[in-house]
Amino acid sequence: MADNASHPVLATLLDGGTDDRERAELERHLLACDACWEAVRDDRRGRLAAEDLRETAPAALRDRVVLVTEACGPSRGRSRRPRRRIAPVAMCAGAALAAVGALSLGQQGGSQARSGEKPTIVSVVTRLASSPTAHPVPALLNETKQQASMSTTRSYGSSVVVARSPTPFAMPAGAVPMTSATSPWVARRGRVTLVCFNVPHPILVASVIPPDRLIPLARQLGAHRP
Amino acid sequence: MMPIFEGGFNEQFLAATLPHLDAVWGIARGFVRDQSSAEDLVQDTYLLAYRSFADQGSGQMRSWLATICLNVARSQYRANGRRPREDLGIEMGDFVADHDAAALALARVERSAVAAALAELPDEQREAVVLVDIGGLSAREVAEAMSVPRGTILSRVHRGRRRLARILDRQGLDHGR
Repeated sequence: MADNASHPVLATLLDGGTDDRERAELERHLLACDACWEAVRDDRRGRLAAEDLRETAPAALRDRVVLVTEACGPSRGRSRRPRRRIAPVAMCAGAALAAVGALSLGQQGGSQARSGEKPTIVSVVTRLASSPTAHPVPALLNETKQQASMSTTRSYGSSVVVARSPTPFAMPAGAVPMTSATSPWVARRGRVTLVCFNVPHPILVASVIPPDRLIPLARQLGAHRP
Repeated sequence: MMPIFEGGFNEQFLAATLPHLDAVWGIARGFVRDQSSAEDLVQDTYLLAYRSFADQGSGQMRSWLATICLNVARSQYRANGRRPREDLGIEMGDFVADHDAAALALARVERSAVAAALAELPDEQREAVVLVDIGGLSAREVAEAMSVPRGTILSRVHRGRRRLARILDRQGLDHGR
């Protein structure tokens, strides 16, 4: 394919800054030069085809970026630089990779979101930011090797991460216990609400859904053995 | 709906960078083969941007994010091989009940063909076309991002567009004809 990019006419065209005189000269040349006419035509067609691939980012991706930022950065309101970034592999999509990343975060002995944060919480919040999958995936959520499975569903228009385990989920710092007998609790991490019921079956759910909706949902999900 | 940001570092970062999410998404889609990988690429881009945001300041956000996306794509995803996109990433939930289904289906096919043709371009041309025509960057911004002369970028864009048009010609698609 002949390359006419060095032709002065095309150089003017691609530069994008033609005045009336240059435009008139360009048009005269194109009428007389088949090669340049073809080059301009193909350039335009290729540009239009490529521009047709522009698209609005999915709304879920916007939420994901916000959630990941809040999960990995300093708390809202404090204007300090982040100490360290989480390796991108910990944020990769896919259930298996999310589980590996969760384990990696757990083994680091703490999250980037909050010093001393329980790895379970980081894992669930991180999972919320990953690509959703409806299929439960086994995961080791913290340094005590708590067995659990995580899946993602949708409710009220938002993603909900559901973690189930044969053993109770420990209450993290800042969580609010709902009762004293069965040890369910509610915690907040940025925009994410976490709700835990350990009776009858340990379940931990996380979402940006308001607590007044998430708590009944968690109770319903926890009432049924998976 | 765009969240309202105010106050701390996170909020400043999101306020400065989220307006460019569509451009970054388009660039990511131009570099990787499927929606899931593109979403990961965007996320990795924003994570790396978050790390450097304090040093970047508020200027040239779009070209800065595009540069990060380009470098992440080169390092992490080129190793997987360049293949045509396998899906258009439009979820069923996006379907509008009263939309012309035939027109929508046709548009999807054409876009898929363009994406496949884009993947056939040489890397330099593809990157230039993606950044300029999909990402909306100027030739000067791309030249700075790639550390090459502006004229080189113009040449790569032109060659890439022409090759793209020729590939689509062979497939019988008439974009812009």
